Amino acid sequence: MRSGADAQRPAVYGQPVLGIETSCDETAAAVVQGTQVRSSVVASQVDLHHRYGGVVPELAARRHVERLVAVVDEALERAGVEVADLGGVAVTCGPGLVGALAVGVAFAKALSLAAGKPLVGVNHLEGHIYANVLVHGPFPTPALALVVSGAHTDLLWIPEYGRYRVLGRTRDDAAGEAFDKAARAMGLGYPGGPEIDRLSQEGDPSRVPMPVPLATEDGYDFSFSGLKTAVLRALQQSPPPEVADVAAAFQNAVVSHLVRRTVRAARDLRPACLLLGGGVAANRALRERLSSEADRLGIPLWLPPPWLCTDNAAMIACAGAFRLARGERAGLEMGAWADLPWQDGAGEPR
Amino acid sequence: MRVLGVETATGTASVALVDGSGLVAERTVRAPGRSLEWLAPAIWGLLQDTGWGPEVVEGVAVSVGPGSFTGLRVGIATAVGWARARDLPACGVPTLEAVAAAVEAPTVGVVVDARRGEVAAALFQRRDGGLVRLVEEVVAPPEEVANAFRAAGDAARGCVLVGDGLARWAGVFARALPDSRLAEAVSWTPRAASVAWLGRQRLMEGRAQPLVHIQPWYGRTPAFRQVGPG
Ligand SMILES: [Zn+2]
Repeated sequence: MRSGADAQRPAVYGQPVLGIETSCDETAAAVVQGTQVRSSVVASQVDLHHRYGGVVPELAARRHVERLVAVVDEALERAGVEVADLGGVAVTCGPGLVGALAVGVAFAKALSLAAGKPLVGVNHLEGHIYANVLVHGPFPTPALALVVSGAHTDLLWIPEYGRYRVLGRTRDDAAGEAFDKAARAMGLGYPGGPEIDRLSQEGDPSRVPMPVPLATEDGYDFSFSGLKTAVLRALQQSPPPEVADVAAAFQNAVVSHLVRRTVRAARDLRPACLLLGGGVAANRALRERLSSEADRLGIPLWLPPPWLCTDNAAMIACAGAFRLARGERAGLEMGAWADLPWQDGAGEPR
Repeated sequence: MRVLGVETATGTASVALVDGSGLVAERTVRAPGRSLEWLAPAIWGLLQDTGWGPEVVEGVAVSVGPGSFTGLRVGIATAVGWARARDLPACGVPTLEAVAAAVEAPTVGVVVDARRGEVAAALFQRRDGGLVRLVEEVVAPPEEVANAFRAAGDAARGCVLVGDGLARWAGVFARALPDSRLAEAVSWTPRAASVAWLGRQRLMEGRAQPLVHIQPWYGRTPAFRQVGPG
């Protein structure tokens, strides 16, 4: 058993770690040393998938294999690091698109085996939490984390480094998914989050009624499908409401729901800090609302800057570096998983 | 030159090491859908078998298709990752050529099952120790391919047919090419030994490719389908 004081101070890995991320539609590589980003390269596929209104798995995997080695080259070059200088390789092994993940995992395994470097698998969502560490340093524990992305909405309790307990998760759509669907219904582009965030600034949220999801339920789960339905219903009214008002009402309802549940957990459990992560963490309204609520509770809130909210490999390298520092190593038989549960030692090969 | 060969285009995955004297070690297994989990431990196993360290490998060759889309990407990402780690020369080898290379005959027709009622195929002739294409790689219905082979004329006469597409379509080819014969089924799948050997020849001739150019040859474009945001 470690003492409480030790648990607060995690071991930091001193050598540079190469991170590789190919779970969805960004091909990314980065070099992180300790908690410092030495390079972070992201080749986005958003333009490629835009015309399909969402991510096409086969296209994503093709683009990863076309670009990965060039992206890795650039990350190493910008960091001024050779493969021989690396202290390890960290790769996203799930959750995500299996065919896309497989490209990164296969590459990382071969690179680490040929170069004789230790390898760790990283849970993509854990990476989103560690985006905070890259700007603020190691977080105090126990921590409460809200991870909100296109595919996930998870509220987590982190009693100590490397341990996760799921307090609540979405029962239907993920928050980011709800933004995309609502944006499509409003005739806005993909991805929907930034579009709705922008349009909301011109709208009045009070002009369009929105339900409060799971209003009568205790606990920390989320639900967004009712809000999406409310958007569709509002748009069918005659005369139709201003789209900016619908966007503002929808965003306000999503953010209120996320903030209310998180604040309830924070009040119940009194964490040493609150961590926000994931693509939706870039949402301006969510950042502002959560900041003021955290202030009121007197709990420090950690927010990644927007460039670290979207998918990147620096966060993967950082989470991987902490795993390496704890002595964790992935086996060569590591696979790729569409679903990878939060659990103790999440992201390790099973 | 000691070359590592990687072959994951089909349901039978294999890895091999060759040097100037020929095959040094090979591991092969029919492992459908498990190439990602199998591949790196298999390469490690090859090194254990030979007592070589990773630093002994001087070049990398990989089968680039046609074949299973995910299998090809896993093989290529592995080969490229290995080559990048140690700055080694590397190249892709066409999968059908690797199948043909393992058959001792003047003319070899390769017919691989490409699913959806189609085959991936090519017709090769041995010339000056190398393989020349009489019919270029194509993905098409078996009848069409058989006619294309027949259209190669005298050269196609007496050709040896090889490939897992013959399990289903041997009759079609026997009718179009009555004097052809089938190779033994054990040689129907591409093997990493052939990939490594053909790759070694290319690398020795200075035909290494920039790593970004080593890409799958998919053979056909699927109908792309969108899923929800990831
Ligand atoms: Zn993400």
